[in-house]
Amino acid sequence: MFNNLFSVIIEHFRSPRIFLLGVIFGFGLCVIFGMKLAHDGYYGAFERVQGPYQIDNHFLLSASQISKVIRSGCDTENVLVLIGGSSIMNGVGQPIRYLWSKKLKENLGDGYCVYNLAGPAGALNGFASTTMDILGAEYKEVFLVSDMSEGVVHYPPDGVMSQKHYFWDAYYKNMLSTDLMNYVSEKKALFQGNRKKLSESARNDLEKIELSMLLDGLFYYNDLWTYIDYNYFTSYYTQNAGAWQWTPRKIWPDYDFEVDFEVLKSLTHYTQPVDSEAFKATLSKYSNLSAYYDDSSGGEEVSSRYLSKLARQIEDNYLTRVSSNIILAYIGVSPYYFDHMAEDVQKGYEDIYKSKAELFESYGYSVVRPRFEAEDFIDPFHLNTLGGWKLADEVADRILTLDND
Amino acid sequence: MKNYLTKYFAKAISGLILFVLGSFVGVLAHYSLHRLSLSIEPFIYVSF
Repeated sequence: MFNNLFSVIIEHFRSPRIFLLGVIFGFGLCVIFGMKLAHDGYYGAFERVQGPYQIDNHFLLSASQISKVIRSGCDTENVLVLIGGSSIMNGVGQPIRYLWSKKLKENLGDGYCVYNLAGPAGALNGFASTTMDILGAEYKEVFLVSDMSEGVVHYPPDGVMSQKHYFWDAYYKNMLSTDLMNYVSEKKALFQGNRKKLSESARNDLEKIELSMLLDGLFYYNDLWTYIDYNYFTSYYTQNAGAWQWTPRKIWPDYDFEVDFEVLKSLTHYTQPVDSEAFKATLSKYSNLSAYYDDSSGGEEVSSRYLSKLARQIEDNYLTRVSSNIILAYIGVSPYYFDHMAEDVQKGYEDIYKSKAELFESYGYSVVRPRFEAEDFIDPFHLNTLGGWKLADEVADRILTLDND
Repeated sequence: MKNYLTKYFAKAISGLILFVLGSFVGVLAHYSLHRLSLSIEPFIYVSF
């Protein structure tokens, strides 16, 4: 009997029909679950792109999930304030309980919702600008706050490499406005031209992101498997997870600690001498300081070539169409480091940011520049809670002014 | 009759095994698409 059973099983295994049916069933079931999760939403409390939502640990922040979080947490009668930009705006250096964006919400009061979508190494375009487009028509008013500390204005709407998937997630799930979809079609040739200037590996990465998000728009795999990562276990090794390796992401903590403001004010943060030349190299890399020293400027002023390139980037950026609702914060560098720079470097740095701010303002953007002290920084660029709260005060004042106009 | 039942039972069992195996491969294919969309090297934030 068993010989007979065994031979029938072997014979049956030769026919792939049931096997293929199983493949389709398994895959299809996953797609249905993914679609349901994309629709229903599953993110818990969201404070910023940290803790469970660490994009530097492979987490694919999803446009549909973030939109869901905002829609469920903020009534459309409110003014929506979205924070984009870099790690400075993300609040690196600030414990979650004293995060500057929480202070901003407190300053703005009722009728305003604040969501911090700034990510490490982020730029003006990215998570927040995409979300602004998705939710723009639903809310009474939407403001975008970003920093302009980064060297390059990323005018492609998908932003920096670590945030591009978010835009394409929204694009292929038809969440973007018709205006932005048309803009992407109009500027296709420009984006493709710019892409040719990239290294081969960067080009490959970009194509991979677009293709994977195109397929995700059909099969919803990121929604399903990120849900499992978030709620049950992280299914792959991540280099920076430490003790939280393999655990559900929802329990990954954002850093938090009590701050003694008196101690913070009295701390001597910087005891190491600054190597002026090395720091000048860092500034050149992150703030286009080289624009001051290139051939066309003669080392005396910001080069016209740099400024005209920046003007072109601002003109080409679709956000310029809504620039009256965008506030850019000029953070600058810690005065402690600034004071250690040679005079010509100080002048170059100041001139570049002054020119940059004027250029943005000429296109209708608002620029705020809080006056920071050395004690407001944790390093040359990032603000601690003291600095974060100064930023919150300035930004809140500007939003209230713009909203009342 | 006994042979018929054995054959029928064997067919049902093998069909079920194949279907479950196929479903597992389908789920694995779905998961692989997710893994392929993640960057190979994690993006590491470099502090100054």
